[in-house]
Amino acid sequence: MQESTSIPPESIPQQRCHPPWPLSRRTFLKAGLGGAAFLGLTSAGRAHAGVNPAFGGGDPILTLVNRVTQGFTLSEYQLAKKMGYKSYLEYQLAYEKIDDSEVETRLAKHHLLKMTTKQVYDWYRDPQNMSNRNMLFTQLDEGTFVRRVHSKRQLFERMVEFWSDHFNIDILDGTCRYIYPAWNRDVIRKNALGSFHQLLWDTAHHGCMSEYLDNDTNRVGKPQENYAREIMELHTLGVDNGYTQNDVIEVARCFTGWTYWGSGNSQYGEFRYINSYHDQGAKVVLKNTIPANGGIRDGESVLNILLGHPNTAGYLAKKLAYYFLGYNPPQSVIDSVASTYMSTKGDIRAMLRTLLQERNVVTHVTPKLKRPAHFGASLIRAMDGEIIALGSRSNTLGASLALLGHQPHRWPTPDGHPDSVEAWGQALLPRWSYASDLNDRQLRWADTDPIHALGQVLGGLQPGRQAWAVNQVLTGGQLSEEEMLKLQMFIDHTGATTQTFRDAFTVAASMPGFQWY
Amino acid sequence: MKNEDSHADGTCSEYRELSRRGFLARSGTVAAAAVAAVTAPSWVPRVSLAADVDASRDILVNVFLRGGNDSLNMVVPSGDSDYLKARPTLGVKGADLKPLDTFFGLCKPLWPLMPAYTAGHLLMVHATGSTDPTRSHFEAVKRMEYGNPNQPGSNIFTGWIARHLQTIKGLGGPIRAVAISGTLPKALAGGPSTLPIKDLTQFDLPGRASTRFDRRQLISESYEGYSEPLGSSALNTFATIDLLRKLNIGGYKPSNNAVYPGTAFGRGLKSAAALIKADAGVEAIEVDRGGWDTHSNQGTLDGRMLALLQDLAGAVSAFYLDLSTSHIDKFTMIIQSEFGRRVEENGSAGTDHGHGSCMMFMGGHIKGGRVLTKWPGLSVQNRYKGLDLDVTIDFRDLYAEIVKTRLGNSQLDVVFPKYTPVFQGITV
Repeated sequence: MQESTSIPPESIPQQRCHPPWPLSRRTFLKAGLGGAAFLGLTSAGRAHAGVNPAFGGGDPILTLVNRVTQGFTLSEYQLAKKMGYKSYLEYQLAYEKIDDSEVETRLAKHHLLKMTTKQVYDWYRDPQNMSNRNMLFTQLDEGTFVRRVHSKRQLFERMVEFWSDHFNIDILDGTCRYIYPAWNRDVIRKNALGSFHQLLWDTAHHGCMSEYLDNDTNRVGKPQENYAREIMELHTLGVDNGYTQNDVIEVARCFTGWTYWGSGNSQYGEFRYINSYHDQGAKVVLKNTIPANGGIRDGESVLNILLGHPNTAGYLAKKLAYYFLGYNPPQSVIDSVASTYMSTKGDIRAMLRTLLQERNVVTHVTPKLKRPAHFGASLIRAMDGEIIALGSRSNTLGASLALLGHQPHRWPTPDGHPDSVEAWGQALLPRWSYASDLNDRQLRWADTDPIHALGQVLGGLQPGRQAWAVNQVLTGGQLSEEEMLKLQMFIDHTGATTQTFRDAFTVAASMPGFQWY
Repeated sequence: MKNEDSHADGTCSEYRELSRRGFLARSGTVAAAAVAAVTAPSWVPRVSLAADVDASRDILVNVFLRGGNDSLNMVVPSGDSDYLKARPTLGVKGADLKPLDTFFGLCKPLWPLMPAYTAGHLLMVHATGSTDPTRSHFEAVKRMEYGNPNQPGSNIFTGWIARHLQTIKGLGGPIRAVAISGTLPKALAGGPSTLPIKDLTQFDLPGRASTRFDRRQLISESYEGYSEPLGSSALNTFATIDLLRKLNIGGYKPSNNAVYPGTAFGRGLKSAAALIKADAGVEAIEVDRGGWDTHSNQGTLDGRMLALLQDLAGAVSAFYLDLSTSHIDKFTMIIQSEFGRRVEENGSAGTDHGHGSCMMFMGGHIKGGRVLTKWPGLSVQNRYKGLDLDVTIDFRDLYAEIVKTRLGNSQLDVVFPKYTPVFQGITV
């Protein structure tokens, strides 16, 4: 746990209604009306009347912090406030300059994440490690979640999450488990805030995607369409967005012979082109003629055609805007991000700079439901809790995320985990249970302390003010005042013990306001 | 799983005896019921049926095989001479098939389904599915589960089962539809009182008992009147906690010595059977099985397909056995996938995304024991786009008939918008 530095009330986000507590119930109901009048926010065209403006409450910096991190923390908000909107965004974009050695120290034991695919394979198959094989899955889950929670490079981690879904791979598919550590490190993390051109290029030249989408079996005379379809449908153009079934067949022919080195080789998992498996005939892809005898250049031409296609720009721009702004991003913003894509040849940072400029965030952000793992990360972050990541064979963290329904690297289909209210809005009990188990220290992989969490706010432990402090800690004061009044009554009634504060955090984190960002 | 399943009691389980309806019937009068309620085991659901609804309608059990299943290798058209030509290595033949009629044979791993078929409770419908041209899993799934194919740009984002539930009065239970899953399948998206529940045996607020009531109160009040779907979700969650606590699904003992596979799918169907017997007002249950996207190493009676088929057959046959004596007239099961697979096998000993497929329908009111089809043939000129098994029966013709005749809902224009279904006579 980090040293507690209490934050004076003036530097925490402005609230709609100030303490001192308790207020009369009548005053509260009146004050609450302001919040209840928050209307017109839509998801897939439907109004979320009554949603708490937990995503920012009109404070651009609070909104930005909520959007570019895995969850609000008082210290991150304070940092952003001190820097100002633009500098904070630039600070997060220039992620290489942020010292993140602390998070690397936390993952020092996670040796499998640093190995080549061949090393992972040999380790996994070594009879001595038979009973420890599960360490691979533990280390992958912990590596991802520890970074989401503890990394200072928060926007970078948000983008790692984004690309991990965009180029989804299920580690339980085929032999993906061996190749995944290299994939995650050398493809996704390497390019997360780099160039989309390089990113797509690297995904096409990696054994993990080849294995997952079966391109390793794509050969002349017997084309395998799986990768060909998904690279257009999911990775670049978007579904039914300017290609035909015939294009799928032709793209598959272009990628014949694109496979990877097998487990017997020291380059296991790395890209390998086998010319004798390649279909040397001429092809036509998206109306471009690809002449005969092109060899490996056929697939490269496909990549270039897709990368330079305006539909790729539009599809990526829309997906990014949906991810960062809301479920119905305006076309004007999508167009401007797409135009940045075209003019910068897919510079991801430049696209985010266009997308996340203050005007867009102030005007166009609408509430999004946190996905379950985001919810899980945000609670630990807000409480300034800690992940105990041992990298051992006991994957209790993975089990917790599985109960939430949102374990990373395990979405079976190539479309990635969904990001919609429809997909996640029905399952509330898993969230409530997680909050409860986390606060009650039932999760062996996590450590939170409600006293420490409240101590982040000056006077947070004072009688009568604890519920107010819970609200400050979790959301910067955006939860419903009326609910906090009731929570204070609960604290007073139950007795201001540590366990009561645990319950108080559990309850507040279970409320609707904490489910959104 | 063994302990859970190995009960010796083949007689009528207490579960069945004490289901709500049976319980009330035996009690005879409301007064007697009230007295008896005091002594009844705590798991008897306290559900009262809405008086004016037709309680004889079936519970829908929707099974979705995700990934596009190769039904040509399951319900095999061995009478079509083009089948083995297209499947030189993957084709199923000879002693690995049990004849379903003079044209189709059932592949060996699915033989556990024969008792249901022979009893006339299992119907195969071949060359059916969605007529939508997409070969994308995600689009195909969406358009099928929304019950709305061939309408690109449509603004329908609710499932066909959800719209059925929206347009018919509930039976009075706190939860109308359950997906035994971590997330809600699209067929149920937008459904009233509908929840995904991964494990029906563990569904309650954890934490210390002394504050559970207060915590529950605070959480539940914070969702009161809250925007949808969260407001209803919370309400349903609490009602379901109460219901499931009473039902004690973890203690459920199947009838007739039925043994479910210890897989997630097996556990899911077992829970579904328990819910049906509990008669707690649940109208639709979805249990899915993924993994059918067999682009490579599919195998015939080995490879990736075998484990999938064994799980399917094991769970569905156990479900049938479990319900066959007491509840066969209470449910209709649909087994479907988003599309079939390519007629020709590919070079990776697998099959690529196709079009038409075979669906299965099970229940006491299903006119089964036969393969219903308007077989289009597998020769290249008869294939859909020269590649795939064609769809000659629209899936909506089949689903709509079930909605109308077995689920008692006439508002087919809402459930399947812009479509006039032609019933195929699949129900009795």
